[in-house]
Amino acid sequence: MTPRTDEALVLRLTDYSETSQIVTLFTAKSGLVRLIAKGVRRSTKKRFAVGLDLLESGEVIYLPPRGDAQLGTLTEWVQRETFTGLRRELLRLHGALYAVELVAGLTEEGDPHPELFHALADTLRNLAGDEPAGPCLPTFQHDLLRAIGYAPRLRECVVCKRAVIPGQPVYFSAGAGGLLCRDCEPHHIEKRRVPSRLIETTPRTGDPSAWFELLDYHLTHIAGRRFKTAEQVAALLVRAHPRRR
Amino acid sequence: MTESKLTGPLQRLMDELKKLPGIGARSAERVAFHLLKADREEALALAQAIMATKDEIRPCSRCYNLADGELCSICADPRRDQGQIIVVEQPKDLLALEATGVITGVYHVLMGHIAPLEGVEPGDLTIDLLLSRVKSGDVREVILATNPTLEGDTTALHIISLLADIGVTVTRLARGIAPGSQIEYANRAMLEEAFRGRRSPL
Repeated sequence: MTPRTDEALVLRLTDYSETSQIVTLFTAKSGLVRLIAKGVRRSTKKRFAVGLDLLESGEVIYLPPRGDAQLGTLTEWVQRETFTGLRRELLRLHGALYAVELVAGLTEEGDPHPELFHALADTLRNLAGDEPAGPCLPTFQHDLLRAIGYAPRLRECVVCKRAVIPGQPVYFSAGAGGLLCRDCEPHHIEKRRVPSRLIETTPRTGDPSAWFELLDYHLTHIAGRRFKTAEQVAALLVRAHPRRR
Repeated sequence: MTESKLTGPLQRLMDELKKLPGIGARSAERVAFHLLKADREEALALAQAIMATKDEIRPCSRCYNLADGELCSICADPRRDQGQIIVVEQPKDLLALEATGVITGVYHVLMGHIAPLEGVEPGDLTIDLLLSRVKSGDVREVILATNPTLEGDTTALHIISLLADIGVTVTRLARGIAPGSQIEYANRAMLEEAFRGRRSPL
């Protein structure tokens, strides 16, 4: 079988034996890929360039799974970026873990999303940099929703298509796929009130904490489960960006 | 390899041995036949050592290192500097550090690391006990010796945030290129850390 070469980000590492790990990568050309990395935990050989770690990027060479096998084989990993700036602040670190948890939970193996790959790499780069961490997270949530085809409608009511009027009460329904106006919301059980001030902004420019909470609500509904890292990120965001009342 | 078809206690022994790390079917067979041929005393000494380990080893009540009494041998040693606590993830890390022979302080074993993606949270570790030790004793320095992995760093960052207001010196192990390795094979992170942490040779 021909080895494949790709750019990749390390999303998850699971110990398989004393020296081997199962590695979940998000690759630019093939999306999620799960590989066995034999001997990686003790490797000082050039092919693994001294182990792998979560949230690093690199160039991967791997053999795709054969037949009914569920795992391919990692044959070479060359580290490119380690995003070391993430490790200086809890919000940056947990925010990055949340981003990779979203990708691992909401994309399928072998389903390529090159634009999402680059969005994730940019998000890790921004979180590791000197810019405020807060806005990076709702921006990435929105990028991911767009990439997987679940971007919510945030300018008009999803039912009657009328533009939301500034200052009037507005609701959000994950099941309906976006905002509900006051006239349409009584017909929906699953919904939550949204501050009308918030929807006058965008995930990139608005209150990071409020946008994060709203988009996480939507993502949780799509995934059908809570994300393990969400609660901690929400708490850190509130501390870093106290809500405007 | 063909699976052996032995039955009874010998097969059971081989099945149990195969569950051990690094022991495959072939090694399990070799060990089982060795024990079968060995003196009764030799074989029973192994069984008794396993039972004693399971019955008598417990966590040290102060640092969570492995102990066969209330305190581990390090915490009970009066020559140890109780003002310096080295924080490690697991007892195996403690053994590796002890083997260097340069540590005069005492330890605190966290019993793991924070792994948000695996659902391991600070409350699952012995961090609260570490804080109590630092607050109640004459601790001058806490040395964080968690692994230089993302999860080890997450754990260290969390502990740093908790110790920030206590007024104790917090340090971390140095990082960089391992002696005996070669720069051309070192990864970027190692080189970056080594460059940032460079120091005067004197």
